Amino acid sequence: MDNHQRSRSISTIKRLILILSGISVLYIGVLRPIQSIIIQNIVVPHLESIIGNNSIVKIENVDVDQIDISGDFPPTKFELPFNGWFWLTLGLFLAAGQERLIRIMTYYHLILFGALYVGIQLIINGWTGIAYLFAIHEHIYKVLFLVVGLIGLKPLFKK
Amino acid sequence: MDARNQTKHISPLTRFLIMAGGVYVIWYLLYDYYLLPDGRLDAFLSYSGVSLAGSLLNVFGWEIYSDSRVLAVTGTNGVEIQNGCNGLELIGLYIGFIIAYPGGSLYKRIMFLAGGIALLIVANVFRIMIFALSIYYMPNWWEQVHTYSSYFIFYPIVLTLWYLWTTISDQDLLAPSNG
Repeated sequence: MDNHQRSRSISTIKRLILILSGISVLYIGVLRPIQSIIIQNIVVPHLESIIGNNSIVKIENVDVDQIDISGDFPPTKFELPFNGWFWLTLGLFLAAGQERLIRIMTYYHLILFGALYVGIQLIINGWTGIAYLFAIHEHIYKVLFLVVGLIGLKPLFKK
Repeated sequence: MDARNQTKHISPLTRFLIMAGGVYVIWYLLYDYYLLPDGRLDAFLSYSGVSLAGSLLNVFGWEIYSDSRVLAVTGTNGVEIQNGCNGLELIGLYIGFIIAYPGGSLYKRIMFLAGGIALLIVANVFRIMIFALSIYYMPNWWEQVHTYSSYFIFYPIVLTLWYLWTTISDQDLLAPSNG
């Protein structure tokens, strides 16, 4: 690696750290409190109203940006879209200038709002097998986007 | 176009993502339905993490109380490391990427896996120490320290190790074959 490549690599790292720091401040200071309000004031009251008292499905745990529901299936985590993983991956995409991937990930999370809502409705109405699919999806999609974000950074360090 | 030609047209990135997705599905099924309910590996990581963190704090001069999963600087209630909070899930995340990413010899892969897992276990010991100290020095910030410790301790390590592995693997892929 010559001096030019080295200084370019250092400026990429600086840019990445700067972007991730900015996103961390935004996420901790603004976005997470908003997510908490959405979960506490909208999601949980709405779910409680549709689950009712006689359903086998129960809200097991409520966190800042997620709820766990359980029934005749293992507790399943439903995390709000645009969660911490989204913002971390967005930082990597921004640093790499991957606009197309930013669009894809944003659309994915927007669609996820609808998909999670429909999924929870189906589980409450007895389609509990779907909970397993959502559990696997919940674990996989965030990591895969993060991995793509990381690989997207590689050309910047190599230029 | 036959099936073999179609497979050839899948980009390396897509192939890697399918592979990584498959590895992660297997890992999470193993973790959620066997390792976590079984609890033995989790318990081992929690107990050893607490024990090592306690010993280190002791060496650095703090008076501590430690019992199985609980670590406390004397005078505080301390912290309890429960199953699912000891870095095991993240270790699985790390392993999945290293297994799925193409290139790199088996020997290098095993060494990188072992080194990375060791580093993550050390990071977890450091995290437990921070938990115990934060309850002693800034108890009002406990929630924040607990919530964001992973973001600031584990993720930078995992991302850096992943990046290093892609560099090592790519060098191996580009190097002329000697056999």
